[in-house]
Amino acid sequence: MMTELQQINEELDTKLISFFETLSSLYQEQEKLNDQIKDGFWNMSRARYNMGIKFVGIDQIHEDNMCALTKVKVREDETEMFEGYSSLHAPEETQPVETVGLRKRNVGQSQEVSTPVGDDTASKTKKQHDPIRWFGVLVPPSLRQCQNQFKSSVETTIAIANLKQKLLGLKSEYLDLQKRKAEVASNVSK
Amino acid sequence: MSHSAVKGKLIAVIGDEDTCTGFLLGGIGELNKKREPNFLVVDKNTSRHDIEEAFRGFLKRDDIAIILINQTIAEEIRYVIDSHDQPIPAVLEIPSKDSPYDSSKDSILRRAKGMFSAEDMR
Repeated sequence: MMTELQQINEELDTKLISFFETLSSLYQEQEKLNDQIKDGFWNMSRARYNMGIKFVGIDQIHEDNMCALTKVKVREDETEMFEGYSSLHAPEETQPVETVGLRKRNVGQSQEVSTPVGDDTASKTKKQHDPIRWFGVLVPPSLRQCQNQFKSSVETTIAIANLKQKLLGLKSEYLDLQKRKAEVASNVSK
Repeated sequence: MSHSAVKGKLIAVIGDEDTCTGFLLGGIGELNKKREPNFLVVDKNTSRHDIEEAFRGFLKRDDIAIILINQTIAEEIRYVIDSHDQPIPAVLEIPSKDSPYDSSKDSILRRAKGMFSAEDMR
């Protein structure tokens, strides 16, 4: 009975050490995120100085052709629950947009589907544009740096989300072990 | 597991104008089939009720995996964030331009540290 109690105590110690290690990593990632966001805001301000206040803001966002470049895979059965990936080259993410219009007919025997004519009458997939294009073609380097900072911060937030889930998992495992320890201890005292 | 087997989910953001602009520039913005965006820009005219509605809306959507929210805005709807105990979507508090991140206010960290009661330390 004592060996079981010792075993539980050792497991509790392991969980506790793991908890504090995870907490330490979480603080480091949070610090990293703070710096990335701070640098992002700094570069955004520099871009505003170069381009003008009105030209860098939420008004420039084109919601119609907005498509997420970074998405998250969720796997509940694994330790790393969230995994970010770029959806640029993922073929299943393309959304077909059907439009009605004039089509070229009898183009060739090999083509089963007729080729659309013109941009506005095309049956095309929704293209993923680089968001920086919302702000023009020739954007200052500071805006590109700002974009890179925020892209990095998206990756950091995914890492933080994983660490926080791990922390909550360790907490529940620790509490379960404490309950088991109390049960075993009460049996020993009897 | 390959990409084609798992459908990618989105990251939503509730924040001030600069936070939303930055993260949308970073490439997280998307409209869903109902043409609903995955972000909310909060300014001085946005009421607490609107923030709460948007947050609850994001919680209900099954295409969102992570919700980013400025900590200053999270303070306004703390009771809603505290009541959310599901792993998905994960709610992360982030710093804003005006105020840095304070870990002592973070809901998840407070919940995680709650395992150490005074009795355990005796």
